[in-house]
Amino acid sequence: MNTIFSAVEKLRDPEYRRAFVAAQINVGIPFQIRALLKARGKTQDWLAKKTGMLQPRISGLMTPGKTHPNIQTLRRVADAFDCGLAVRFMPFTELTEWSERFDPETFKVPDFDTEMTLREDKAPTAATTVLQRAFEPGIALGNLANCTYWQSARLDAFASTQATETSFTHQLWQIPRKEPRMAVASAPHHPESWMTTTDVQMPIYGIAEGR
Amino acid sequence: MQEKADADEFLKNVRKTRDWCMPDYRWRLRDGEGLGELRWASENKKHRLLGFFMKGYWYAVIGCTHKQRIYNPPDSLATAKKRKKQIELGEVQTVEYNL
Repeated sequence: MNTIFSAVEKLRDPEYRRAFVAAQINVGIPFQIRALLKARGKTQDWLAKKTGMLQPRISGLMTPGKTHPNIQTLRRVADAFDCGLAVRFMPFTELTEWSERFDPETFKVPDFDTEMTLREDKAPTAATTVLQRAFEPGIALGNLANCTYWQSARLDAFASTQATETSFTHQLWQIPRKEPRMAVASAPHHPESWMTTTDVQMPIYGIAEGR
Repeated sequence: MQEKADADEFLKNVRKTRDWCMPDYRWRLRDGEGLGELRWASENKKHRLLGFFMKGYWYAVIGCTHKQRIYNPPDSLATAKKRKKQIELGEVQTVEYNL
């Protein structure tokens, strides 16, 4: 039987659902901490020093079911690994999928510096792609609403280097939410026809202002 | 129920782990005749799942708790040995554990 299907079937029992959530913390977290330590080639002693905890407590945190770590403890561990910690509510199916997909052999979370290095390497390509797509006729600028602030900032940096009539800053991207089908381009001299001033409905969902 | 959920989560993760070793798995039990044990804790109890490897599969034969070197039920090891033999001789059928 499909494991996700099987797991979801078990969740039909409310008591099991409650226990399943607790198991993600009691048992799932120790596997995550172990994987993080292993991926970084560090020891329990290293983690003990970084968190300011005693080594036996770290050992307990890494033993499935032995301790019930609270959020404060997890924050200290996240701080030691210099990574984020997400505590959020979610549907059971999502939690089940995450649990099924989690692999202690491959689970890795980079520290902030490593993450930034990786992002810097990839950033220009990503920003270029987003901007190029924005210039394509008919592409919904609303897609940019999905950009993170960081991506917007990169987009800004990229756009400011372009020798075009139009330059953008992330503040100029406005995503109308109440009337998503209404698109008005306020600048009259854009090179692309879809950017010209119009009061008719167009298949774009955003406003671009030029300067 | 918490013990069931913890066991499921533990087995799900340990199944994906390449090297089974302490503290999760003890390869050779004393007088175990080739039996090993998966080890985890839940609800302030030490849980054990006794079993053995054969032809690329790990066969679980009995689950129990453990306190100060004493299994509960007390005859867990004897039962495990008996079942191991039965499986090896093909006298009993086994089913895949559905996580």
